[in-house]
Amino acid sequence: MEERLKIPGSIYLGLTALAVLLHFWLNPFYPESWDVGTIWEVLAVFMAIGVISALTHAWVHKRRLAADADTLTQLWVHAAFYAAVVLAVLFFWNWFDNLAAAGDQGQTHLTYWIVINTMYIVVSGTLSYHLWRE
Amino acid sequence: MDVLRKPVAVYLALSALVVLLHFWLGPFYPESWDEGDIWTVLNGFMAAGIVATVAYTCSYKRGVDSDAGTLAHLCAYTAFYAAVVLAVLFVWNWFDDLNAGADGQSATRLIFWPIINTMYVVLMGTVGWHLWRK
Repeated sequence: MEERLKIPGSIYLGLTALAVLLHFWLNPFYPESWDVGTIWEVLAVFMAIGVISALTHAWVHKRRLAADADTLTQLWVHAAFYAAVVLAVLFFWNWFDNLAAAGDQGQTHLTYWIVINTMYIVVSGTLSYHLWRE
Repeated sequence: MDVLRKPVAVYLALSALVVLLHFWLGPFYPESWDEGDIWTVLNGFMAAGIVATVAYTCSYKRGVDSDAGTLAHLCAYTAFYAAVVLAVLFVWNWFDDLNAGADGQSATRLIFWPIINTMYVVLMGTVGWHLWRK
């Protein structure tokens, strides 16, 4: 990722991770007039951008890794990249299904949102922190 | 076996791409297309890809020099055991699917297909790329 995109990218990933975390935790306390599903649908668009951004950053970071980098750094970079790939595969699978089903998804798909949301918070939050400090 | 390297790499990468596209775009198919029938055909190709990957990662693991770095050992072992886990889960669910009849598979088994498909895309993509560049 180009230098000038690092800080905005970091802020975007950090803020979306925080928004997903808060909505994931706090939605049972929302007033009944708030539609939790509609908020997820809006968040999913921001998550899609975040997933692509995280994948791009993790891939660029892996490509630029020096051959003589220490083992822990290499491990971290590889783990971040593969976690971002898994997140992208699962997220787009479930998001496309949600769009096609107009929000009326089956139990299997609904269960996977829990995995996807948790992965998004961890992957985006970690990459955001990393980008900020880089 | 060097003559087989590129064809196997192409097979693995192409099958990973086909599985990914079907996995993502299945909900958008016209109603006349039976998503399940397409999976039935794809499963045969996936089985062949998994057998090739278990065989290759096993031979790769055995060929890693004892003085190779920690990361090289870790990558070889992770790829091999990921391939074994994928093979165990895939065959378990595939054989059940072949024998499921009109009622289809149980909810427990259905929940594992997204894990199997995601693992397939990531592992075949990685091993295919690795074989191509070797």
